Amino acid sequence: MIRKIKSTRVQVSQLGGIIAKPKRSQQEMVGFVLIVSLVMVALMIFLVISLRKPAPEMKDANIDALEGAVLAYTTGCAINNEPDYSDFEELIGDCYDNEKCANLQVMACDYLNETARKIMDALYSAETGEVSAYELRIARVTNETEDLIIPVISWGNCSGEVRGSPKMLANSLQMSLTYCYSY
Amino acid sequence: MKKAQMRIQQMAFMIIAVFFFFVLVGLFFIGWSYKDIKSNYEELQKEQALSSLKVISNMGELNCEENTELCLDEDKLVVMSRKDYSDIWPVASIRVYQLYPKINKTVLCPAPNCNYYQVYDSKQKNLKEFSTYVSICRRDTQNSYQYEKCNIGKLIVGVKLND
Repeated sequence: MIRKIKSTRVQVSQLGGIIAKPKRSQQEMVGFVLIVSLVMVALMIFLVISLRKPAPEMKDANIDALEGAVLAYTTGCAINNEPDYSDFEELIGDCYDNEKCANLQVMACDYLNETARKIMDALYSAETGEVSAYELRIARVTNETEDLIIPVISWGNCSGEVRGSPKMLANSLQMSLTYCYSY
Repeated sequence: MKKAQMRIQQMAFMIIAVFFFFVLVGLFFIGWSYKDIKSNYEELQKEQALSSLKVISNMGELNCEENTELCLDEDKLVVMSRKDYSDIWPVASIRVYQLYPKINKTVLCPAPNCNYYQVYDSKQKNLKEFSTYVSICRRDTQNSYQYEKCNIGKLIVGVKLND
C-alpha cells in the first residue's frame, strides 16, 4: 500500500515535473517578448515626440538688418513732385497701387523691378564669397495665396544653408530675402 | 546545477544586452539634443554680435537724428572720420562702407563720390570683426525743400581679442 502510495507520489511528482517544464519556458518567452515590446513602444514614443516638434524658425538677424536698410533706401522715383522721393518700402506700395513715377515717366513697378535687381547685384558682389545664391520675393500674401508684385529676383544654385527673413509691410505686402550660404 | 548556471548566464547576457541597448539610445538622444544646442549657441552669438553693433550705431556720435536703429548719419560719419576720437569708442575699429548706390572703386571719405569711412582704427592687430547692414542717411536740399536721402551701407566693428 505504502509502496503504491510512494509510487503514486513519484508518478505525481514526475507528472508535475513534466507539466511544469513547458510552463516555465512559455513564461520565459512571454517575459522576453514583453521586454522587447516595452522597449519598442518606448522607442516609438520617443521618435513620435522628436519628429512632432516643429523645427524652430530661425530668423537671421543679419538678413533682417539688410532688409531694413534696403527698405529705407531712398529711390529716385517721386510719385508726386520732386524731391518727395519714395523710399523702397513706399515704392513697393506705389507699385501695388499701380502708380507712376511722375519725375521719371515710368511705372512704379518697372522702376521697382529695375532698382531691386541693381540693389541685389550690388549686394551680392559685396559679399565675400560666402553666398552662393539669393532670392528676393515681393508679394501680396494672404492666408491662401501669394501674388507676386514683381517677378522673383534670384541668382545661383543653392548648395548650402538657407537663411531668410520675410518682412511684413502694409496692405499684406511682404518682402522676403533669402541667402544661400556655402560654408 | 548546470541548468541553473546556464539560466543565470542567459539572464546576465540579456541584462548586459539591454543595458548596452539603452546606452546606445541615450547616446543617440544626447547627440540629437547637442545638435540643437550647438545651433542655438551659434545663433545666440550672432544675436549678441548684432546687439553690440546696434549699440555702436545707436551712439549719438553716429546715429541718425530720428534715433532709428541701424541708421548712420553721413555728416556725422564725415566729422568723426576726420579726427581721432579714440577716447569715446568702446571698440578697436569702426569702418563703414556704402554698398548701394555702388561705386566701383573704394574711395576714402571725405572726398567727392566716396564710399568708405574709416571712423576709428586703433591699429591693433588681434581683432575679431563683426558686421551688419545699416542705412547711411543725410539731409539734402532740392528746390529749396529738405529731404532725407538714405543709402545702403555696411558697418564693420573690430573687437580686440583677449590674449
